[in-house]
Amino acid sequence: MIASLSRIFRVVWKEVIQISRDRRMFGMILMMPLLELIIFGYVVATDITNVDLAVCDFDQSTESRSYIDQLVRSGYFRIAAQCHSVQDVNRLLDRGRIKVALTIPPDFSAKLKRQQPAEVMAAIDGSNSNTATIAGAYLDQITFTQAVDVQFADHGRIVGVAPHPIVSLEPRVWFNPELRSVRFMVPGIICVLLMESLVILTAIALVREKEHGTMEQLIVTPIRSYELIIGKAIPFIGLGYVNMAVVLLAGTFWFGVEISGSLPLLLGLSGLFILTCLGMGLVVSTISNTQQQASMAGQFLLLPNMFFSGFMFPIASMPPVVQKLTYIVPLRYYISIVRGIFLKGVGWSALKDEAAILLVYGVLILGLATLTFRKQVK
Amino acid sequence: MTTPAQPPSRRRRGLSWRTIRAILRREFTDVRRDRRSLILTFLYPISMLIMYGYGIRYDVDNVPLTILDYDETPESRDLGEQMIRSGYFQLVRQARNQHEVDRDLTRDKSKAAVIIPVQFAAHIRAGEPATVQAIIDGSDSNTATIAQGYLLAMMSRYSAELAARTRALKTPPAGVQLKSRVWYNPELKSVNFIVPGIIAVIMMIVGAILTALSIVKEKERGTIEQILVSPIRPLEMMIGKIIPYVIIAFIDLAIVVVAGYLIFAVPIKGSLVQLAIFALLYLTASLGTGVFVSTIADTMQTAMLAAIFISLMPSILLSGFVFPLENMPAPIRLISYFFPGRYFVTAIRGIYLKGVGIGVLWPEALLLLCFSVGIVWLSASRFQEKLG
Repeated sequence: MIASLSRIFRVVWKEVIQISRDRRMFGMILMMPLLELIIFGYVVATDITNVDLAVCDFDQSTESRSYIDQLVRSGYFRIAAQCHSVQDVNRLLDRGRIKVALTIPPDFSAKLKRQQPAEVMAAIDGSNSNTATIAGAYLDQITFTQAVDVQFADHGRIVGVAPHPIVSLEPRVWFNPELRSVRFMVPGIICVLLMESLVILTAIALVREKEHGTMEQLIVTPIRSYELIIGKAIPFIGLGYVNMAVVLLAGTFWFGVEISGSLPLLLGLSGLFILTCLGMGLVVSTISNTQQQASMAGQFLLLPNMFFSGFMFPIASMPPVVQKLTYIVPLRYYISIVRGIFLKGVGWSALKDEAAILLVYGVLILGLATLTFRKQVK
Repeated sequence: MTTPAQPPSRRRRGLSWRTIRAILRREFTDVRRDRRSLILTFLYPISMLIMYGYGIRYDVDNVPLTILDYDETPESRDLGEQMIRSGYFQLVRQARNQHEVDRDLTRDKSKAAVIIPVQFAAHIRAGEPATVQAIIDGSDSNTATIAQGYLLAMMSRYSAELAARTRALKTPPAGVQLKSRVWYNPELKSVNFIVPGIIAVIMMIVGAILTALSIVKEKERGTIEQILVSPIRPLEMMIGKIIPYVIIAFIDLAIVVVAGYLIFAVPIKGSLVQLAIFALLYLTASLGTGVFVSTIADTMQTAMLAAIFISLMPSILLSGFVFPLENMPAPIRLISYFFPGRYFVTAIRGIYLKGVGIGVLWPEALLLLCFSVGIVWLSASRFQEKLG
């Protein structure tokens, strides 16, 4: 037992030295978390605000100005251009200078004063359907829930002419009330980084032996296959946790994203996912002969995981057939766990299903991979 | 390595088209022999189209919903049914208490919950306002905002219908009414947004990555030395290497346009000719980048990494292909101005979705032209330097 542990320790030490000498891998190790934080924290995590708006105000009354004011003050819209005619609207939308053109007819305030419904028309650039839907939702929200100041000539002003709905809605947002995308992305980044360092880097490390021909030398030593695998994996498991710490710190201090749930639970459940990733890394290393191939194969495996795990794009929006397919993507379960802990502060009881699936997955893949690895060694 | 003594034929002026044709013949033979790469090159755009077309969907419909109906009257049940029938929501379950609502939301079973209070129907019958509570899972802010919008829209509609039906109102329905029309993409399909962008990505891959790899392969094989001592001039070799990829790129373009139409029903509103012109401009910029990368990389691995970093990543992340540029922080948006991707994506979307042409898109055309000329000039001179 002790001999086994000491052999593992020696492999770990050898691996650490080799990593520190391999400048390219070292560079990758440093760059990956930084790059991904920037990419997924700033490029992907876009909160749609300040939508470019132009208003053709044909009424030019206090009431119309009050309405426009509500739109701008909400922070959702920003006046990007002036508009005085239909041609302006066409030109601005075609050119892409604005995303929404609002037209307020000349009888806007008159209708309001007569206590009749006053119509406004919005033309929304539908090119990006997501932005369009959200801009539409913002318009609805402000129009239906905010009041417009109405000035009556003899009787002073009446505030609060909003459609007096018989049924009104009181919405409350749970878990992420300010609706910031980063809170959704940062947990995801942790998952992806862990997967990358374990699948790609571990595979590269294992294949390095094959490439340099040192695999034969290792075989003749008393080292068993599992000791080699564990020894090679430990530095990268450590790295995975270090990356996690980096992202957690960056998330908290730079992005202002905190964990609602339990950190120990997160670290513990991550261990289950690590099993699966190790298995995948092993598989990659057995099918590759050069480090370059390992790197490519690893990325090839990683890409569908990133796409179909709910990391970037919501699974609920995918076609039903594709949704069924996402059940075999291991990252899906881990992301669910991490996001649950970060955003919803859930505990073990809510996560045990996902944890069980990850465990089964991990054991299966790791088992399979070890068998193929052993066969290859023979 | 010192410059060898120049053979007399090298000092001739101008480019020899005979030489270029010879190089082309060699390239095509190479390509024809490497069957696997060829198939990949044409399979790639289709697989990308399918993966991105089906994978990247922001469209939010069938939002999983839990309803907690404390009132249990015909009116409250009617409200519930209307919500489901609208198509915006799909019912996860009728909860019996708040605890079940909490569970559904916490365990990701539903993304929103509607709670109908006890006196709901009573208030409505008395002509008084009734309030319905909604809880929305804000984790995915995108879906949350849209779900909230759907809920609000639904409530207004329900209110208006109720008003029309009952007419027993103490408060008249006044106020601002919004009528929205969506331009260019009225069914709000995500694919219409994604497919044109895929063209940009594929052009970059073929133009920059494949070209760079092809040139650097010579370096690795060592055959570049043979070329250096032959009468072939560097520029001729560059053109000879580039032309096959121009052809491949345009074939890929055709594949994406046709497949986009057949599989995803994405039509082109504008002119195909203008599409081809913009594509050519962008392709030129990509090819220039590819040649440039080939001058700074010595191994195929480095070439691929460099090409991906300089050309592919910016054209996916910083061009507005998937992620809208206008919502990114200013420093990142600034960086995007330095890559041709954003101009091409704007132009191609304009042609596809808005049916506009160079009349509206001339700034993009001009910038793409400058980019192409600039980078081709830069890379050609470096190429000549390195091989001359």
